Amino acid sequence: MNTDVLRERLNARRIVTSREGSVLLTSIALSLVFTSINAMFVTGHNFQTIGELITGNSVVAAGQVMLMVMGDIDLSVGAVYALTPTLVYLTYTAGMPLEFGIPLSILAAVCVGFVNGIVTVGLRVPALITTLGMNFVITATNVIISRAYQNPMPGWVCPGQSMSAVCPPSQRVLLPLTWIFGGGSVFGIEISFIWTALAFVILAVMLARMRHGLWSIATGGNTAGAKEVGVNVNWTKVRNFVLCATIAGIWGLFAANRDFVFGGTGLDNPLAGGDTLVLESIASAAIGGTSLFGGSGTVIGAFFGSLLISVLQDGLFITGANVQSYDALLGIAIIFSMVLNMQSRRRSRQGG
Amino acid sequence: LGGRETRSLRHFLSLREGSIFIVTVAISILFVVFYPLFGSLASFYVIATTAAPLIIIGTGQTFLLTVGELDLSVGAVFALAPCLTLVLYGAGIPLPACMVIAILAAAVVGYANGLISVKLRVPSLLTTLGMFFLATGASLLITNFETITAPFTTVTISSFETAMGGGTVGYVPTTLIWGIAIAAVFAVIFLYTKHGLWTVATGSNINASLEVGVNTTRTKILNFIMTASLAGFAGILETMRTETAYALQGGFPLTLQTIIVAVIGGTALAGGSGTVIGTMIGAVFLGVLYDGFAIGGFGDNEFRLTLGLVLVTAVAINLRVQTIRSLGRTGRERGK
Repeated sequence: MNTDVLRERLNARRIVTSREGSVLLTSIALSLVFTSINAMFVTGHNFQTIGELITGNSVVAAGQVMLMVMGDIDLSVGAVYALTPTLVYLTYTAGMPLEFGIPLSILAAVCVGFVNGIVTVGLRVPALITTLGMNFVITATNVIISRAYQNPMPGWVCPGQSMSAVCPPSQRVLLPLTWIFGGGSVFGIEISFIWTALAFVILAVMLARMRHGLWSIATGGNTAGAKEVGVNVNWTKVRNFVLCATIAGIWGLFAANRDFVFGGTGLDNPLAGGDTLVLESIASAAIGGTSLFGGSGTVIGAFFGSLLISVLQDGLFITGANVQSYDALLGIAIIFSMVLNMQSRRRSRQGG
Repeated sequence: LGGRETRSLRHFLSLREGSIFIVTVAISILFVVFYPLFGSLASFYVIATTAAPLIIIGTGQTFLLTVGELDLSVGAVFALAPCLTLVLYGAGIPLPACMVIAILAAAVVGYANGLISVKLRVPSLLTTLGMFFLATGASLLITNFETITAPFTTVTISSFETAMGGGTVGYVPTTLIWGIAIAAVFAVIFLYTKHGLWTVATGSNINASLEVGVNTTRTKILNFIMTASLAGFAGILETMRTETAYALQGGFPLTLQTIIVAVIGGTALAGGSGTVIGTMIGAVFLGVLYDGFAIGGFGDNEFRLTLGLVLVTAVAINLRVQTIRSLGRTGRERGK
């Protein structure tokens, strides 16, 4: 009995490993193909580009995984991604310091997640509808409050001069909070890369090893059963909505502050993220093996899914191949990995 | 109010379509009072042409939602079919044949959606998300990122082109006539045919349906094919009206709107209950809101903001009304 359970676990683990492994292998194979077409693909500069693409959607995809293992989804991530920089810009121009604006903007993202969770759990509105409505509301709010302009992010000060004065890059002093939230770099590595790696470690441990992760998977696998054994199903759901929205908000700040790394000025784009981020985060999670049936999924899969998408996008661009085929290839990747995923699920069920 | 009148009023309100109908009428009256232009013919044209594609695709989406699935690829098929039509037409094939081929291609997309979702058990949200990208990519490849202008409309609009969405009958755009006709036909199919019954049965309890001999697989796949074909058809009508086709027309915003109109019309996202007429009214509501906001000088963003709030509110209310309705039913039975 005990050995059977053990074998089943090992078996299931092997399948999961091979699934994520297959996505990684596909990414490597694709990279080799792109390199053989254009050697520019393996330059440090291009790795930076791919890294930025991954940073953009992988952690949001991991947040999406936390929801998808419960059978829920968040369509508002793209809007929240643009909400935080908009609020930071707004509070800063209103004369408030970043020490106030950045926490406030993150708090706003938390609130969005909380409302998503409360409406979904409390009013029993399907998550798809709740977050779709939220997506519309937040996107519209972003554009209205930023008056549809792309505004410069607050980021540096010029000692001895006012902000409006022309300040040569050599004299600029980056604000510490901007440095932390995506504007800085450590040994030439963008700080958002480091945050992304850190977030993956934390989220992977959380989903696979911690009580909250167990509760999330239990809720998705069998809600009634989870309730029976004392899982606080509702609170688990709300927490994951908050987690997902908060991630989207913070990584939105990283994206807006990125240009500071290169001595430029960050941009608060009210339409950053948008539907593209929503779709690509779901696609990354799906390619990484997380389905919407709930009860199974891995954070690291989302990373590999995001890696595959980013390599594809960058490679098609850099090789000058048909950029039009990106959409088609992404579609094939999503469908193909989901079919594989379902087959392996069925096989593991039959084996057990 | 007399007893009979209150009863009929209550009956009307308890209808799934009742609340959205009243809201649509109320908001129209408000718009007419505040913005007299809202009552003009130009305004009617905007409402009609906004609502028509949503009615047509929303009808398919209603069947799919009722059966417990959904289709995110409709916005891409809405572009694929007309792009294919115009590309084929440019290759010298007669227009009606191009349209038939394009709708068949859309049907194939729907069939693939159905096969992958039902036979391979991939959640339809992910299947059709993949198909959305695939179909968009296909449109981009065949049009090479260019907007294709319909070459035939430069001379005169033939009666065929008018009938296929390119013109108006009196003041009514033919796209709207198609929309209403399709909604009417499919409402009858939904309410009075075996397919409609099986759709509801499959969506409300798939295991019980299988037990009593419902072919749930076929029912689901048929609904996928229907939805994609309707999306392709709506795209062709739209292209005949605007005289252009491009790979990014419709897109994800249209996909979302087709789900929204079905859901605010009273169709349950979880499956098992739906209403084609409600979807039609939902589409008209969206058209009225869009048009009224534009005339009132509000931007697209105020429209989106309101739509988001309306969506969540409508679904929350619908869920409550359903509970009250079922309570009322048992209460009546107890009363007897």
